[in-house]
Amino acid sequence: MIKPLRRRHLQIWSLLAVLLPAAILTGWLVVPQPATDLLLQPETAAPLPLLLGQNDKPERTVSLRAVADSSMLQLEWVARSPLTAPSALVYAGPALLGRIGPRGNYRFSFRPSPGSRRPQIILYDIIHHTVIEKINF
Amino acid sequence: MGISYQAVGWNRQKKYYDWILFIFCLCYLGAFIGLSVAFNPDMTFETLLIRSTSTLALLLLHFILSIGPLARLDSRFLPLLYNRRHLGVTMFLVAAIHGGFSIFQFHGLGNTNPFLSLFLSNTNYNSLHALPFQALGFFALLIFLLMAATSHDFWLHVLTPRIWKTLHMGVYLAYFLVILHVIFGVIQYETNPIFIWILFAGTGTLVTLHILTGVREVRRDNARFSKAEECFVKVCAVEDIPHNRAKVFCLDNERIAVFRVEDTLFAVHNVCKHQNGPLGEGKVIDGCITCPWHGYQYLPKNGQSPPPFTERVSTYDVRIIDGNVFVDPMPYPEGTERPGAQIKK
Repeated sequence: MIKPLRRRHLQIWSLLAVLLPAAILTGWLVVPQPATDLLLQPETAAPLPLLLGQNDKPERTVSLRAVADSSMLQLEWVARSPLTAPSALVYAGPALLGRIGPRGNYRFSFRPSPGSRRPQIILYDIIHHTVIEKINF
Repeated sequence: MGISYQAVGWNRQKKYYDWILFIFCLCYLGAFIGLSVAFNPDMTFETLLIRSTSTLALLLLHFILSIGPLARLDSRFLPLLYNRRHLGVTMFLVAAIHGGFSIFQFHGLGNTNPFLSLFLSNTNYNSLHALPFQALGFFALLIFLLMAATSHDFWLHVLTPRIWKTLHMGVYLAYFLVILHVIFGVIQYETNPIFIWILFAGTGTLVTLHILTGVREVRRDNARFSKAEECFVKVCAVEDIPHNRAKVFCLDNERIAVFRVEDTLFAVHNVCKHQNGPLGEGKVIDGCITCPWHGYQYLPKNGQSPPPFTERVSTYDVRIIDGNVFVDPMPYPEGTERPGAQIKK
């Protein structure tokens, strides 16, 4: 190589020595952070000790649990297969407890109403406005 | 070196080299696709092809760009330099497969011209994260296309070495565009930091090699030699110059190669007329100084290529006094015969 060409090469690589790391670092900094999972409801609570009743089907097991003095009830819904309804809400009598979705364990704690220690559990399709299932303990 | 133009001046070494290159490319693509299928069986064939060719092209590009400084730092890499253009054209073909399939997969199935779609489907030029990285790759590929198309010696003669070399230095711009294409493309979606570190390692190695070589060359250019009688400059001892090889000295801003041919020293201008290759890093083959880059040859006594070739380089006067070599930095016109300096035993 001739001298001007050698000088040009050195100038180009000196420039690249600055530009390349700057470009890589910039690209790294603007990498979008992965979306965090936002829970629609709090993490599943621990099951309450006293089992008041249980309703078993191949696709799910529903249990009504309580603390020792029955001042707090808990609905435990173990879904073994996903529901066919896209959006199913679960009620304890008139009170909305939460939503049942894909397979998993769902536990909803609630206070018993004065009139009924074992409320009727209703699974309701909010889109089609139909009752999917009623469970009595 | 050939008197007439051929598509490729095939010789045994070039064929051997190209076979190795071809087998390496096949093995790499096979290994990449095999491992990808093993770890991710849902990947489509188009995606496999796009990813495997992109990584192969990037690997080849890094290798190509490291050959120049490696050959300057260690002469054992010179055979790679001799065949670098074949490697460059291969890299372009692999990159073209990557580009072609990407344009087909991402832009070819709509109702817009795929090349228009390439520029119009993403216009987030003011966003770094969503930068239209495909356009960057397209421009890099365009530069590689120009380089591959003009890589033959025919174009070197038509364009003249100065314009040809300037055009081919576009590889550095293309390399920068490729790095931007990667960093604002796949790196934004593949969150594993290993890809960043691989990119840092690749660019870091290249920058280090080139800067190291560049600094060494500057030092060599700036070496001072003491003037002796008349205009002669003392450069080294006779025994410093190996048989059928040369030592290179920078005198008055010009590099001069002092060759030892049997028992005579000859000095010629260090720059080959073909592509400005460093003659002093070559050796004497069949009595001719042979350029290490592409094998152009010159007679040591007059700097002329043996007939029927017409290339000529400048010659210089050399003297030996008390076992030391002295060179007159004033060049004779290209092709002027000089007697050289006889080594007394």
